[in-house]
This record gives sequence, C-alpha cells and structure tokens, in this order.
Amino acid sequence: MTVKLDGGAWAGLVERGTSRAIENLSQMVGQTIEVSSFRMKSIPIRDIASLVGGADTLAAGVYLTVSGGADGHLMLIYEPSIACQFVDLLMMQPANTTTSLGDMEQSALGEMGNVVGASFLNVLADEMRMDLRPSPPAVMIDLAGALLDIIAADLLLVQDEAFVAETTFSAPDREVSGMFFVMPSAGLLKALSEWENAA
Amino acid sequence: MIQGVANTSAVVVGLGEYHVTKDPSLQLVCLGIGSCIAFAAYDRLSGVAGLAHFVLPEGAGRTTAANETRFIDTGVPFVLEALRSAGAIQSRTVFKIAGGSQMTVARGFESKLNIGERNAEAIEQAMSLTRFTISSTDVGGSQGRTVRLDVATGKILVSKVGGAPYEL
Repeated sequence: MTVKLDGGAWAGLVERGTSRAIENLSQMVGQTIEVSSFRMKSIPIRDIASLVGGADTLAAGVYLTVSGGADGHLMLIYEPSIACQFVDLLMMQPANTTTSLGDMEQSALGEMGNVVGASFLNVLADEMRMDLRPSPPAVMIDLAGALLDIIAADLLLVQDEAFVAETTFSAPDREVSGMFFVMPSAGLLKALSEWENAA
Repeated sequence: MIQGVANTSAVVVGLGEYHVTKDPSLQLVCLGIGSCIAFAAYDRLSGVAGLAHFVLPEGAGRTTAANETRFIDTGVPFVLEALRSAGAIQSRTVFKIAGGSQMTVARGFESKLNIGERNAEAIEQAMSLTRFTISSTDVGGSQGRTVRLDVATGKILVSKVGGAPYEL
C-alpha cells in the first residue's frame, strides 16, 4: 500500500505532539528542554541509520511501539555519552555524575520514553479521535543499525520509504541533545492521510 | 581504504542488498546487523565471494523483482544463482551466517522481536531446500553484529560492541 501525504496538516499534528512531549519531559526533569529543530522527511528505509551517524555507530535507544487503532514506531535515540547526561537530569544529579548505563540508568531512560511517548500519542489520539497506545519502553544500547533493524523489518514488509519525523532537543545549561523519531507503519499512515483529507 | 588492511576497500551491503564479486581488493561489510541475517559465501578456488543482508523470512506475497533479496525465501536462490553466474562452483562454496538477534526482551515486544529467531530458522530452511549446507553460524543473542568478509582470503570477522572481533 502506498500512501501519499502532502506533509501539511499531518506534519503540523506531529509537530504539536512532539512539542507537547518535550514540554512534559521538561516538567518531568524540572528544567527547560527546548525543541531545537523539527523536520519531516521521507527517506529510503535502507538509509534510516544514516540519520544517526550510520549503522555502525554506538547509540542508546528507547523504543516504543504504537498500537490500538493503528500501529507505528517511536524511538528516542542518543549518543551514549549524551544519554548519561540525560540520566543526570532525570535523577537530578550534577552534570557528568553518570558515566555508564546500567540497569538503574536504563530504567530512568525508559521512564523518559514513557513520558515522551504517552504525551506524543495523547495529542495524536485526541485530534484524530483514535485509540493510540504506547508499549512499555525498551532501552537498548548497541549499534544504531541493530537498534533500527526492528523498525526496518516491520516497515520493509510493505513499503520502501519511511516517513520520519526527526526532532532534536536540547537543554540550555547542559550539553544534551537527542532525536525523537516517529515512523508510522502503513496503517497509521493511512489513518493520518484520512485525517488530513478530512481536516 | 580500510584502516589496518592494506589496499582494501569496503563495500557496504545495506538492508535487503547483496554483493557478489571476485575483486580481491574488496571487503564486503554488513554494518550493525540486529535481527537481520548476513549470508556469506566464498569459493576459494574461483575467488568468488558474496554477502547478502536479508531482512525478513518471507515476502508473504509482497515479493517483487525489486525486493526479492530483502526476503530469505526468495533471496537465497537469487544469491546462489548470482554466485554461480560469477563463476562459483557451489559444491565447493563455503556458506556461513550471522545475525538473527533479539535486540530486547522487554515486555510487549515479543511478536516483533522474534523476527531474529524466525530469520535464523528461515535461512536454515531455505538452505535445506538446496544441496548445500551452512558450515558455520553465529546467530541469536541480544547484541548487534558487524560482519566483514575479506574477498582475498574468504576470512569472515564478526564484531560486537565491547568485544574483540572473532572469526566466523
């Protein structure tokens, strides 16, 4: 199934969802975190890993699936050193306290995924009047290509290109930035297309 | 040029792609494989080497001429034919596989994350339909792998995060 979106209304919807997610993340850590950039793009699925520096790049990913009325994938992805900085923010510790990502640190990153994923999907679900639920988060630290294989395998069954909403965010007092990827599967793309046509 | 290996250039074999060559100056590479399967073949006498990066066990009716090496069921016969066309004698070709990881065991991901296990089963099944056997496997686990096949020697190195490369 090929779904074409004009990138107008649904991009706005995804951007609103992302902004809400980052706002809630900011409240969670008690510090200002701002969206630095937001881009929607369609790229060949085989090139997804290039968005995070290549398939052989070490990365920390927090992955959630979307289920309910339609399905898709959400992933927060960071350089591991940046993930450590986020753990410090989440655990209200001085910068550079965290130097490795053990079980407790991964649990903190997973909680971050919960907040971002649920906040984002709430906006989409409200506006689209659709049941959209996040899975529990899975935290992975490995080669970026391996992290993204799960998503690529699902999408490549039915499509060659992935619509990707790529958001970078940062905090003013620390060197933290990350990416939040939204990759709708065919069902969610269709729902977004229908929503866009009705908007 | 690859660091530490004189006069060798890397050909990155991406998702759903394959590469067959006799060029001894090349190294064929699958970077950051998780649930996917790296399928390597080498015929020492003819010098023909091949590496495929399979993504899914089967196309489930969605296979086209443009994507058949994405799926194991159609990809294996396709790559075997490419090897034969390049001059490999399949009865003396050595086949090895790596990949098929389950990247996380988190609750709620069971149905998606058994792709690695299904891929590993599918490649064994696909090869069982041929006259050929897989001589060495490195599948499963929960870590990603990078797989490098040196065309000059047929040597295959697998590396994982935090570990030294090892020969498959």
